[in-house]
Amino acid sequence: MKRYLHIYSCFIKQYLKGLITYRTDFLVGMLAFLLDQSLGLFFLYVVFDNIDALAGFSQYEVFLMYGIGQIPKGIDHLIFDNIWIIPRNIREGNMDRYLLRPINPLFSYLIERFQPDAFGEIILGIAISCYCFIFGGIAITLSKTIGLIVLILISVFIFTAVKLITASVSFWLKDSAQLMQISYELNDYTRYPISIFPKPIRFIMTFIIPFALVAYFPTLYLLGKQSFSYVILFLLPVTIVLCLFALLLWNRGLKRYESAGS
Amino acid sequence: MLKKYFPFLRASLINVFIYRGRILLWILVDIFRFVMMLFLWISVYKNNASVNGFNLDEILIYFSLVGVTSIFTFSEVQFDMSFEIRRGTISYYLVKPIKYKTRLFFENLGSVTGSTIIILPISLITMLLVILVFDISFAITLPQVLFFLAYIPLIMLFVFEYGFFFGNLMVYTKNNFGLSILMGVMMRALSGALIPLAFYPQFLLKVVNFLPFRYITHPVLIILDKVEQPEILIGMLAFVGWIAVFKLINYVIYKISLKRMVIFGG
Repeated sequence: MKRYLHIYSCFIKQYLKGLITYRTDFLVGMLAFLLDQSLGLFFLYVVFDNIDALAGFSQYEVFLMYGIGQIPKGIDHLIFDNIWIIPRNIREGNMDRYLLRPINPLFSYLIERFQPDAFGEIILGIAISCYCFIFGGIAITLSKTIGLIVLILISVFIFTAVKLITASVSFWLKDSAQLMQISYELNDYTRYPISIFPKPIRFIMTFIIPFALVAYFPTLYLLGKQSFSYVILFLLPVTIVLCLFALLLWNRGLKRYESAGS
Repeated sequence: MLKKYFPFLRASLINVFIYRGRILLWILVDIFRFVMMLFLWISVYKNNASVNGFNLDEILIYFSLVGVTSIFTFSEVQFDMSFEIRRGTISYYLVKPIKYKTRLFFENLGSVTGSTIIILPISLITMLLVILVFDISFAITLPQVLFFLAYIPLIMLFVFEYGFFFGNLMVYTKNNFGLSILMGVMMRALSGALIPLAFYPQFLLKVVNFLPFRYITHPVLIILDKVEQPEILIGMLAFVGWIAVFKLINYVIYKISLKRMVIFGG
């Protein structure tokens, strides 16, 4: 464990050095993601300029949903971004490298990239949430803050697991980039009250690609509409099962991995 | 004169068909987005018959048609350029007796044509399904359709110039992915592809009206009969003017980038 932490810190240091070298790139990337993610918020802002409530939720409440969902997404993006290029690495036979190293292949793969563009998302998420607490009259207590942090930290792994599962499909299909994209994008729509969707989609959003657990459920908790234990009772088991499934698929996939050409 | 560029057009057209499976999957992503948006809009309209002069039927038609026009807002110029600059391959295009920008234009035309052949039927079927499922009735006249079609080459030209502009910026940053996202965000937010511009608050509308992006959704508004006759022609002229302005800016900026570009080896 200690060795792994040490290796990770070496990688981060290396990456930060690169970051300072390419300062404009970092700023462009962060700004791009900040704006890209604000687009959804802007959409909500414009819609709410014309209506009072969406499925019984006020403007601030929907904004809060949006903001909270943004934070775990950003954290996952920051640390586990390398998963996105698994399909390409499998196709091009680049996975050999990780299998040869004397550390866990998944670990050595994940630490290879640290994505500071994600700060755009994290900052935006925190800013929106704070905005809703201050101006939206949504009460927040210390215990709720701690509860929220716990929920967010668990939620991060939902994103990671969904990405890893869909990326690992590439071991069989050679390219699953679109599958990754489509499931990841489902997240864009779970930032709205899920009650606007028909039942089958709601089921998928809660149990299969459970992004509703990332934004909608924690917001219910903050608004006092559900208890912490209720939310965690959904979130924790689903996340654990999802992560186990992701690891299983990844390991199975690695065994099947056949590299490419010379 | 332009004949020497046709092979580029052909090549990128064929290229689209090599990866048709990939394109079909992207369409699936688009249809998925579209369906999710439908639910959202239905929910928005649950308590309102009309929002900002749009009723639910019109909104559904609006987004179906925006889907059709978005085929023509596709541009890979910025990626091609940054790729060629970074690899240094740009140098052997520059020494050939073909204009760099014209070549890119024909390549872009080829890939847009190719994706139109694949995507357009699917977009139209989706629209037809929406019309049938929601039992929408609406009338269009021949002039409306003609104006719609007349706008398409203009949109393509505009987006090409816009992409070329960003391609030039790629000389200054290596984060082409970020820059490309930035480019898309601006276009989506300012054109009305995200949400009809009529929904925008007044102060934003003032800004948007001053920019060229809104003409990208103009043809859709024409079909929905939301634009007055004289405004259609003025709009078209203004759009042409904007394209000319972009061409001029690009001419200058391209000269500058060429000077700044440093290509090692080769």
